[in-house]
Amino acid sequence: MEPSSQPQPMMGVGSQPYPAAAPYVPVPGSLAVPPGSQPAAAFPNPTQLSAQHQMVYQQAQQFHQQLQQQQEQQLREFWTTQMDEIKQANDFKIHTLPLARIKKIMKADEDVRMISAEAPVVFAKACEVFILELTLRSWMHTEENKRRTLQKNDIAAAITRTDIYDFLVDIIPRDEMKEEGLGHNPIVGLPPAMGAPADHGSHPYYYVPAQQVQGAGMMYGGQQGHPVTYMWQTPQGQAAEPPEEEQQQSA
Amino acid sequence: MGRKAKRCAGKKDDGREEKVAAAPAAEGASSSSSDGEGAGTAATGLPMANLVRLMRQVIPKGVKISSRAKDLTHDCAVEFVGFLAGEASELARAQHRRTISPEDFTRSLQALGFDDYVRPMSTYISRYREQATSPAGYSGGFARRPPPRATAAPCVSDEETRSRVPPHGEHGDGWRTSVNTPAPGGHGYDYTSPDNM
Repeated sequence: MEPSSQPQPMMGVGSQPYPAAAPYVPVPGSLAVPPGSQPAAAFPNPTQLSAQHQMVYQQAQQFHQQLQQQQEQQLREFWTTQMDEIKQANDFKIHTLPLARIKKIMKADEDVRMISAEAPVVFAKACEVFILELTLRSWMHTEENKRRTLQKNDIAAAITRTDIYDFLVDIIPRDEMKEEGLGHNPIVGLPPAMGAPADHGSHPYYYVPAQQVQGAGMMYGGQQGHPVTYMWQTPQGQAAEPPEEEQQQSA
Repeated sequence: MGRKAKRCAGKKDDGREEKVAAAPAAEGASSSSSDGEGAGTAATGLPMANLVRLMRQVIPKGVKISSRAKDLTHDCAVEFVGFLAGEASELARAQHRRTISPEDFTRSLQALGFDDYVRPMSTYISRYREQATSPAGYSGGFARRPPPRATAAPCVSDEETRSRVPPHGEHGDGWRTSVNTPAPGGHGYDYTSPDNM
């Protein structure tokens, strides 16, 4: 018993249309509509379903923008902190990363012949800042998936999301790349039940994976010019189970 | 995708200006970049303890880092240095110079799109040179060259007011907001995130 007509909200360029056969069947009781409006029908009528979809879609859009703004704010604070620390630096003998190792890495490339005495100092500092920035961006992905352990796929996600990290794409192992690819599906055709927990406001926002068939598509085609490109990530592995339990409790 | 730095096993001898003692010959052979699974980069990598200490500066306390995440971050850092060194080398050669200078480095950052890094690194170079011209100059691990007698380069004097407005959203309960508080002294800063779960 599937709805005869399904609205297909589009999410701009590159978004995929809602699949005609949605495997997810929303629980009737979880819909935020008065019970009296559907005395005998198993599903609400198409008009109400369309309104429900629109509401959930707009909420997802708003949340997406808010999350992106939060992350951009975190990065701005990071760079402000780095600038402040550099301005206040007064002891250049202490380096977190040993200069001899930095120099050795620099000379691993046969094109690099002679290095001035000052260059490894600034290379070491830049490498330090790079590690901090990469870790911060990876932590953002960990937080989105509601985990407390920074994992390899978090770093892979940070690399695929950030344009200037393209030179690192070859370093990501294939399993992480494949796993990362699954999470690149745009937010299209969210189930109506998503609106229920958002309305309550007491439950954290989460995404219930509703599509079994996910298109591989072009992983980098949708990347924009700005350095922070956010794409919705499907919770991986066991992270997908607890949200469903919470949803059932709230229903 | 940007230009990739070349990875060759061959290693040329140091030039005359390189008076710093080279690593032992036993470590001469450089291995190719691993994909994070192997330990091939142990000889030409960075100390893992230093790396993990850096990583912990930007994540909340109590957060764990998996071993594979540490290894992948390490490989990315090594790739970053090699990538920029290759670009800086090309920029130096384009100007008929054979020695990579910090200016080549900042130009390579700009060329490769690391715009956020350019200003902090330029400031760092200026600050470092100010330090080098003072009586308590740099004295560790480098060839003993006299500090440059020229006047110190002007430091970036913009005073930025720091934005301390904490991010907050409609769904703040579910998605933790973070406040970045610098710790007194030292290089790091505490990066705490309230856990409302």
